[in-house]
Amino acid sequence: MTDERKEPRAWQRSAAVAALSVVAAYNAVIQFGYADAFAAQVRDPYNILEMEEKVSRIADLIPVTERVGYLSDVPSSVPAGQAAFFSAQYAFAPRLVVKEDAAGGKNVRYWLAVFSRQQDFAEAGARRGLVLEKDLGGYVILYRRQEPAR
Amino acid sequence: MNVLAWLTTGLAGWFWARALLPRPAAPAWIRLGREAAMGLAFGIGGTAAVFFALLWAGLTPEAAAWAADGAVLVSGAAVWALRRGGEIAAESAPQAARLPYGWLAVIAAAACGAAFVAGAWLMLKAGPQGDWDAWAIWNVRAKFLAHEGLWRNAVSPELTATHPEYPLLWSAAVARAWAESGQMAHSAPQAGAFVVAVTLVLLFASGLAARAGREWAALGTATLLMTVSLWRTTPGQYADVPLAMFVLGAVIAAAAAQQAGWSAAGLALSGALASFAAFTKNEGLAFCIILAAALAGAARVRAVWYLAGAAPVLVLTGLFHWLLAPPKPMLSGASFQQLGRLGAVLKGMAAEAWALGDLPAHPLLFVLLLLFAFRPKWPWRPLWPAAAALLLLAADAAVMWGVAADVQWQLRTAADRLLLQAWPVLLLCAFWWLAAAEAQGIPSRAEAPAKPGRRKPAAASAGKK
Repeated sequence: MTDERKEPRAWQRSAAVAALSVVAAYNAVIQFGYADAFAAQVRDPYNILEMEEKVSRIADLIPVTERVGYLSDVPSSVPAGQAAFFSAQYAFAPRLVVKEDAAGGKNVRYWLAVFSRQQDFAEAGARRGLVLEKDLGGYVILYRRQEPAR
Repeated sequence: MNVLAWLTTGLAGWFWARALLPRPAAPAWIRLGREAAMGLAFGIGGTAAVFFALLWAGLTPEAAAWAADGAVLVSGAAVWALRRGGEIAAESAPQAARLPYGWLAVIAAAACGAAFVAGAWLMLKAGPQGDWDAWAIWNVRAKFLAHEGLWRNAVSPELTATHPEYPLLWSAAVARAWAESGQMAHSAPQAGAFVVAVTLVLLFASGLAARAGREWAALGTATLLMTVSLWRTTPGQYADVPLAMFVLGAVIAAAAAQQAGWSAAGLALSGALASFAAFTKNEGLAFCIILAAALAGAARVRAVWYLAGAAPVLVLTGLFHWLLAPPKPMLSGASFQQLGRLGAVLKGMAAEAWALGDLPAHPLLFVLLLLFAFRPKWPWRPLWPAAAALLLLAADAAVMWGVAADVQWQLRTAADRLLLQAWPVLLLCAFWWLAAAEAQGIPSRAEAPAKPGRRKPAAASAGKK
């Protein structure tokens, strides 16, 4: 094979550029369609905005310098449990949110609980020495640590 | 102000870009577009880094934000005023090969750009909180930084899964916008993600146009916008798009410096942008070091100017890791002993490369098709940016091999974003090689017979300046 035969041909260049241009424009329409469908269907898959709204109702109760405790019956090993915890941390920031089993968790005054089902929330808190402060709806509860009897 | 704060960074950074970036022999709109994109990248990175440094020094978030803007703006204006009239002119690039159907590429790029902007806007509006890492890591840490006296919560060991050891540039950029506006609206990170994505595309287009002209820039941009992960990651408000922007900006500035005989100012600008990448994510730190090595090989002793530009924010990054970031062991010797993990990583990275596009619109396949059709002759120049990008990917693969976490989880959650950080540089290099065909037997635009009544092509006129 001579070098001359290896030279690119004009029609190959034209075809490549034309194909790329047409396919790229077609793909942009398809990708925009995906974006449009996403925007119409998936608003808040991890309930981040919902948690922000709930926490905004009680934010004034808790000074920004305080830690907030977190407990849940959803295991943190599954994505739903992780999402619930991170959404609480995001909503409560700049307060630090600590899990029930964390080292500094015992001295925390306010606790946020995220449950997966309806139950006796006051009783669930009492078992941990917590008093139900506010039911925020959607199985999300704000508790306050019970003051020791004098 | 949540939105305006991002645009003011562009003004603050523009003086730096104007003063330091070598000017190509290209039409004014290309020079201005490149300076605007470079100014936005420099402004976003520079103001965020200075904002964090001032917070650490004890200023309130509001004072730190305004002082950072003022510092970048005033120092940039001073550097620009001192260098005024002494702008560095880059050598003209070899004339680009004539691009058949160039007009079609321009139409395609315009359509792709419009669809990308509209799509990103729609998705950002629909999901103002962003995707997982946005609310679990970057924006939550931005909230800590934006509250007076509480910024150290962003590096608290109690944050455990929120990665308090990650660098803070992107969180600082969002916090700065919040501090200036006085309210924590979603519009700040939304606008930031949007501005950064548009800047990335503009950097790519103008970086290509400065060397190869409008039509090659259009073809390259249309190919870049085939990249699915760019469409998906932009509305997620992740730090990977800003990182890709800094990486691309650093390469474009260094390549412009090379064209100007390894200009000290251009190399310093490249170093500064690479150091912003280093303070954005750990992959950025790896890239900053890799690019330093690549430039040391290509520019020899002149690479010291790159280090000089990188030094301020690189020192800040070093101090952050040394004094603030909680220690967290990342690599495990046991993982490195499992060769099966390496195989899984390589297979997963290859799968992600295949997932770069939705067939038939696959950017990698189209680049291969163009390389076949245009056949640029070896050696392809410049090679050092592609080498740096490939080394970054190799470093990413090595880290995924060596971390203790489940390798499949790593690949599933991070591989597409790691590829996105290097992909624009690799694509830009491919188009630089494709376009540099003057001495390769392909008729250049200047040699092509102009049709009667048609305006002289931009690249041809640029080459004669």
